[in-house]
Amino acid sequence: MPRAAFWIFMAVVILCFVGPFLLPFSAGQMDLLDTYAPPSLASGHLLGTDALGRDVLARVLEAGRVSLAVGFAATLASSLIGVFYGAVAGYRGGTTDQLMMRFVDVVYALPFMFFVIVLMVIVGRQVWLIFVAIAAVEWLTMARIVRGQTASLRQMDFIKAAHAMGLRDGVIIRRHIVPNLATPVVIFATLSVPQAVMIESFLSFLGLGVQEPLSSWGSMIQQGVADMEFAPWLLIAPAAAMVVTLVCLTVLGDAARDRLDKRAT
Amino acid sequence: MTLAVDSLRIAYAGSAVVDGVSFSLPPSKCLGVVGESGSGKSQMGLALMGLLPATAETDGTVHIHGEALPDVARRDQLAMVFQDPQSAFCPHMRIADQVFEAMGGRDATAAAAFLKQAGLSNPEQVLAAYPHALSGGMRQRAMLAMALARTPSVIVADEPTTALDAEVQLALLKEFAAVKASGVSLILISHDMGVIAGLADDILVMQNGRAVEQGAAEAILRQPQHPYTRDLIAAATLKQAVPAQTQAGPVLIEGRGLTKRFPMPKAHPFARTHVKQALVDAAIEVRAGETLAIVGESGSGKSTLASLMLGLAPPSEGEVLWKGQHFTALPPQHQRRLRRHVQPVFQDPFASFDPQRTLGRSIQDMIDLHGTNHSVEALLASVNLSPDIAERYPHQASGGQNQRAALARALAADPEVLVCDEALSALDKTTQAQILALLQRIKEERGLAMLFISHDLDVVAAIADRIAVLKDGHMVETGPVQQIMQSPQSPYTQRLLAAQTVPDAAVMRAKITAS
Amino acid sequence: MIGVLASRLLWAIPTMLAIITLAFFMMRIAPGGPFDGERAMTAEVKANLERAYKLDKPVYVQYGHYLAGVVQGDFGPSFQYRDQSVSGLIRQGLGPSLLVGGLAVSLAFVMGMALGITAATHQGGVVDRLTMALASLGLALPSFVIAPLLALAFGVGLRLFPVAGWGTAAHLALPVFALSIPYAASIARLTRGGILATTSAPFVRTARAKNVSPARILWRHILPQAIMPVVSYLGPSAAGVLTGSVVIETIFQIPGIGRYFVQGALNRDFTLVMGVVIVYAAMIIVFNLLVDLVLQRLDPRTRSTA
Repeated sequence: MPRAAFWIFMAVVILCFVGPFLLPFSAGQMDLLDTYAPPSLASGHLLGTDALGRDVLARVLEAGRVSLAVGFAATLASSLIGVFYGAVAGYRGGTTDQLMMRFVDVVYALPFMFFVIVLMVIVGRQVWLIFVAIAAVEWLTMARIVRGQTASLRQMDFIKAAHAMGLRDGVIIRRHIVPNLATPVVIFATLSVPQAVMIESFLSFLGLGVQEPLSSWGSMIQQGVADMEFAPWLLIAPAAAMVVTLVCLTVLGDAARDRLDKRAT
Repeated sequence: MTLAVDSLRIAYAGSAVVDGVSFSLPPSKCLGVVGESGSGKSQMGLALMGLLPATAETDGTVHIHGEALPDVARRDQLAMVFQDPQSAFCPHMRIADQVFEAMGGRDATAAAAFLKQAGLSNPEQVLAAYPHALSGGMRQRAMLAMALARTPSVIVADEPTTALDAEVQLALLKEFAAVKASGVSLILISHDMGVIAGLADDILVMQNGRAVEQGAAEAILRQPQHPYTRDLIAAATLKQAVPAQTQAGPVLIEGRGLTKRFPMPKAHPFARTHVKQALVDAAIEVRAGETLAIVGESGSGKSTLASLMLGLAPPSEGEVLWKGQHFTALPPQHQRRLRRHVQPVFQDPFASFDPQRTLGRSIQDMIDLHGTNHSVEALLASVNLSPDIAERYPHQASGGQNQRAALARALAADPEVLVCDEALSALDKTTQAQILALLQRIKEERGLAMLFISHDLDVVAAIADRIAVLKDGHMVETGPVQQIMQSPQSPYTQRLLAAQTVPDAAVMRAKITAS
Repeated sequence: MIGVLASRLLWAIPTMLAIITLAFFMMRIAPGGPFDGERAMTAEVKANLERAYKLDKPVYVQYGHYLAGVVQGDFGPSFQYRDQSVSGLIRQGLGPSLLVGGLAVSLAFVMGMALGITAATHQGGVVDRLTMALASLGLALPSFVIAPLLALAFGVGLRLFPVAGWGTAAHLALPVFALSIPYAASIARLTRGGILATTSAPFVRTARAKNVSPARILWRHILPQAIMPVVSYLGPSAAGVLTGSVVIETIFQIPGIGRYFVQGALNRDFTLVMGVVIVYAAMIIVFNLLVDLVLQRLDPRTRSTA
């Protein structure tokens, strides 16, 4: 199953980035004579058209670019923050560690999304704010995982041996701790991408995400909900695209965890 | 005949882990099954209990009281005592509930009786407790009681004393002897001939799934026929101490008035802070060319002492001196440069190396760091390892190979002192003997000083020039090895020596009765 | 036990303080005062209004007032609904939100555990793979995606449940179900993983050696251990359900505080928005406290010293 998931995901990515060039219609092309057309092979609109006569398939693919790009970029950012924070806390130990992780605990307990939403309402819809929003929520769990792994690595004999050898702390972290962190970090990062995509979609759904002319799956779903009673394909198309992508990513993340964990033990 | 096993074979995917083992066990008799890891002895025990995984292919017959052993679920006449009582008990159920499960009823008086039979003098308290609240010895007795509660004809005990301290081990063997006398047959599985010697009427020696020798215990112990049996007996025998040949040189590292305290983590900020006193006012000296052994049981503080002497942790009080200099008072760069002179070999061979680096790379790291001009191949050769081990990752080599590689890494720095912290404890007895011989050779060749830490007096006697005994963080006694082994002054040392197991039936029986 | 409770409560206080402070200052920096979008009014009326809302006093005085008010449950007047107080609005909406949220978390727990136990007890078989595939699907279905789909399928298509509104039990069905799905999926995975991991533990082997029935082994030996990561996850689940309820209440037009939050955000009624946020935060903190207590009780090492 993971292999199937991998190929499906690859197909999605390729379609999103290359597909629009191959389709007869572009995402922005409006056809006011053919609005709300249901999906049909004959008309060439495989997934129908929307309120402005734009081809839904083309729009879904283009929205996919935005959703995926934001998802991966935000995960990368949050992972870097989380890894750095967690490694420092785990390696230092003692009071530093306790304070740092207490902070994580407190923030974890907050309804962070709400503050983010309010912030976005106040400051306005900026793309960088979306990154900040997602990263701000995601880094916590990565920090926890990395801190746990670092703390347990620190107790291991080979780290003691490295100390006894005479290596300096910086070298030990770089050479021995970080490579041994790779496995859990990669696994969690893979599982974080779906989270990031979902948060972006959530924000877009609330009208706080990417602005026109950009659209993401979340904003398309929001528009789809409004018209769902008489034009259900407007909702189903982006929803299906998002669900398929997220399921594939989750399966891949699980498979990565199963494989890498066995080797590490 | 209580139990009769004929040509038992257990295989997984076609390859046998137990191949053609047969024995018979009368009532009130004990069969000692001896072998090292991979011998199949545990698998056999599990097979009798019906605890093998579904993928196991079994063959052969087992008869109990003359009848064929019923299928898995109804083997009421057999009970098992496992190795590690801490993990073998359900952590969130009281002992009483777990004993009731074995009994099939909720009769508290009967449960208390079983606990008494297993040697627990305060059964009601133990019944009400959770497993983690009991000491190791009490837990194992509770496990024995739980086995007895099934009123079995046969009890299978798989390494029941391995996780226990020497004296507690002896006391538990006494309980087993009492159980045997009450009519129950015993199958005692162990890697240690000494443990078996006091209880077994018959011995079965297993190697790689096969029975290489079996028969009456006394006969086998006095005149073992098979070379493997001889190896096992030799491994369990207290080595004769070799008198120190060279005059010990100047003091290389010493500890004065060493005290180490650990604050225990608090459940919440308002709880009282408990402080664990790991070491109290300990003093040791390691001289050039000499091996000082630190002996103590679990919790005695010996690993803490090793950490302090290696400079891995600062003492709460006292000083650690390397060639006269206060180690912890030195600036970090200076400390790092000095470290090459004192190198460790740790207990867990697989945890001693970074799992992401090959063994050769780890050794090369040491060479590069201290600029010594060794080659990895030469170092590996000096510890009897072939050069291709350098390409392997730690998990691809055996425990013995990893430990040799750890020694090679330590030697790569040209140290003056080697600190072996339970370096042999995680190895098979036969591997232990090999590594011990290697250590002795290296020590003599290079004139190394050694700080050898162990709970195992057998091992220590063979390699040490002087011994220091630790108990609960205190140095109880120090002296030359012969003096300590033959005429110990402190009562604790005396008891420790008395509790050592030997592969001699009569001696062990006497020790067990006396405990 | 008491000590842990006390220390957690003690941590809750600065946390709430931080949230209230953050809320206050966010309201203040929001561009466009509470009267944006209103008709222009005479300077006198404006001055009166400002005094009524204490906007003419220095910042720290306003903060003090706000803090004192919050502690007593008064979040100030709503800027949008001019004659209502925020606490009044919250009191109205709290019921439905708690009902939907509480039911959603409970449903997630029950459904997730049932699926997880089923999968674990049929490990490797069709049931296991199917259940876990369902769980993977559920993870990818955030509330705001599934809610409209469910509404479409069951409400519009099959006409089984009402699509919007409030009042009968039937109105609860779709929103609660939609909210619970992603968390049920996670809990199913955690349960299955926990059970499988615990099954290979030594004490389970001991129980089998004692001929304990498989059912008892599962319920009495395995589950109390395996359930711990699930209980830990209930905290984040509750937080997620609260976040998701904002959207669900909007979609299904449920008169809960989530809907007030959304409307308040859109209408720049900041006292309302911040009031809701503070209430949500308090709810999450209380819930996490309860979860902590349950965990303490489950862990045998801390339970016996209670």
